[in-house]
Amino acid sequence: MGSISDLKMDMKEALSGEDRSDFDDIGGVTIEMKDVTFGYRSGGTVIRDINLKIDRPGLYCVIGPNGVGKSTLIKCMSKIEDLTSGDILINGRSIRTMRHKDVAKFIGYVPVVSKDVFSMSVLETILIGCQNRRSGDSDESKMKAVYKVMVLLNIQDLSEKLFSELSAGQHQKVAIARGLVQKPKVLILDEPTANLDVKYQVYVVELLRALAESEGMIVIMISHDLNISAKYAHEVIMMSAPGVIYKTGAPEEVITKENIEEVYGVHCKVIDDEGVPVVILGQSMMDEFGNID
Amino acid sequence: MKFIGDIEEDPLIAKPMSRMVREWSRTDESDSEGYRKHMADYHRTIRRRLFFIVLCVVITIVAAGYAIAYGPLDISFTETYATIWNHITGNIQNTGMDFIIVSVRAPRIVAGIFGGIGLAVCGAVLQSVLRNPLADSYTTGVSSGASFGATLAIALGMSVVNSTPTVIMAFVFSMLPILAIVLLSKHRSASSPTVMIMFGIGLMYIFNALTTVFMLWSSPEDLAAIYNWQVGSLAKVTWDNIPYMAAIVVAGIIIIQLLSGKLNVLATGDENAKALGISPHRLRVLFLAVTGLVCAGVVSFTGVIGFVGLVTPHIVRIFIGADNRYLIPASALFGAMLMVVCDLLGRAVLDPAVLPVGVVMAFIGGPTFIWLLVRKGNSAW
Repeated sequence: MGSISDLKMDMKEALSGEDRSDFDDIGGVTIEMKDVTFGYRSGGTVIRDINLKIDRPGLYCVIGPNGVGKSTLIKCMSKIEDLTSGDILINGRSIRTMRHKDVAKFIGYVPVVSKDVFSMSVLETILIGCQNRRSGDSDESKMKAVYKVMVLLNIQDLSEKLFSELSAGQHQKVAIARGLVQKPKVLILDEPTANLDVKYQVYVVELLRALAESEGMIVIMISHDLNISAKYAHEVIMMSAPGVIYKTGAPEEVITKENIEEVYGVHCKVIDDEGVPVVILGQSMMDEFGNID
Repeated sequence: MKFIGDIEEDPLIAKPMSRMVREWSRTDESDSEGYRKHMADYHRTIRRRLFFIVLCVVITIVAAGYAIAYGPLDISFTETYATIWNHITGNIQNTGMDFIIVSVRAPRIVAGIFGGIGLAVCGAVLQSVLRNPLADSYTTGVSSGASFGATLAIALGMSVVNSTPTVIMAFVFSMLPILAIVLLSKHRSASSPTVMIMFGIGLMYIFNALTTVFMLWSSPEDLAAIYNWQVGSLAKVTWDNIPYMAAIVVAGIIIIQLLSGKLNVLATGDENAKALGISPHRLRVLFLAVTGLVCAGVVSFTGVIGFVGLVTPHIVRIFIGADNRYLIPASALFGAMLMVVCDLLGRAVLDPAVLPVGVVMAFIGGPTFIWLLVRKGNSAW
């Protein structure tokens, strides 16, 4: 909760058109998580003592079973959740001292796609992503940025359609477009391939990998597909219960038979396809009562 | 790291993809035909919205003229506006006519315009802020609070000499639910939009129950006064009240319009808002406080007028979409139009009997709204 002075500041900015920020010029980005712990007041701890440093461009896939805190991890990185303890340094500056708008200058966060209560057109939905651009930016330049990102994702013909009228794949494209129009150095996505057919799954990860390589972006995505992660990620972050990082590294180092059986509790076979690990799942490791947890 | 180098040499990325990504940040699209078409389409959309807004203004002006002209003494439409023009320019020619039009009939219409603007904008903002199509001054408890305040003032005999105590009590009690919701939102667990609106509904029932209790204890004369207040009417607003009402409504709308871009972000949910650099809790509290004030500023003078706040934003969304930068001004003017037209019909249809404006709005607006919903489907929300 903010104080009255915060409200006054918001009003002042809105009325004067000013958009103060200490972070107008941004080079490369380093994200460093130090002993990060997060827990809800009501429940237990979700992630604990996370130490992670991401300082090179690339596509990072966060994998792990349900409920190990993958979403919480990336929400903490984007300041959507406030840390319980520990700290996250973005270019050496503590996330605790940064405002949402400061973080948004570095990080574009794309949540799991959900329909808004009142659906706007595709163009307006993406235009919302320009919220944090400097107010000096004219409407013209915002519109140009929106158009360019629509061309990139080949959705320019949908611009007048309502968001609610789109297919799942198109929803995901619009969500990514809204993240990209912020021009972030870091793009963080919560399950961008969920609910998509294989064509769109491949499209999305190809795009994200291409963005990392061509634009030098850090792209962090959560995925439940081990084979997609193994093939496309530059680095894999494997999380396990109870909310800790089990292993990070190149896909062939992390996505191994031992690690998958240990973390997921599923028998599997991992074969090598020209250096890319391919996971073939076997039976679950169920106890005699049928429990899998 | 396994591979990070020339995108051209990455076998995992299809050639068109690598081309598009490279071109994305390196080409300036401003001269392309696609961009020109894109801008032309966008400008057409904007023009369509402006046309809708202008249409509302024109209908409001025409309807206001007829509304003032209509009454026991027959005055023509042109005479009405001529008299108003003469009054404004200080060139009063017929003092009797001037008195009837400016002093007797105009306050009702001006109150309708500001009331319509205020209530419709409050509905639009509350629906976006609370992300709920059912949000309005009723479901946040503001109207019920005002109703209870007025009931209390009448039942306790505070308003014998004039109506000022009723207005003040209505205003104070209509702000209580907003204050309570703002205080509630300090608790993280109770600050979600859904909890806020359920809290508002809870307060609504409490206030309604209290109102009923006081009505049971009231004398028949007070009961009539209370009932009269509760159905809401533009008839009781005078020129003395209008400056207060107008000042609150205009100030509120200016603030809301300036923040309408941020309201769009807030309407997409807290996670999105934070990701786009906005603190949702603070902004929500600010919007609730402003809409609470505007709403209280209207209902304190007019009594409870339903329908306009809830339904106007929905009708407007059907025509111009959910972008709050346009939805706010369009709702304001549509609300003003609806109030003036319905007030006129309420006086004209069963003449000499007068139907309260809220009743007419429900009779005309209700079926229209349902028809629009069925015809358009629910794709807009």
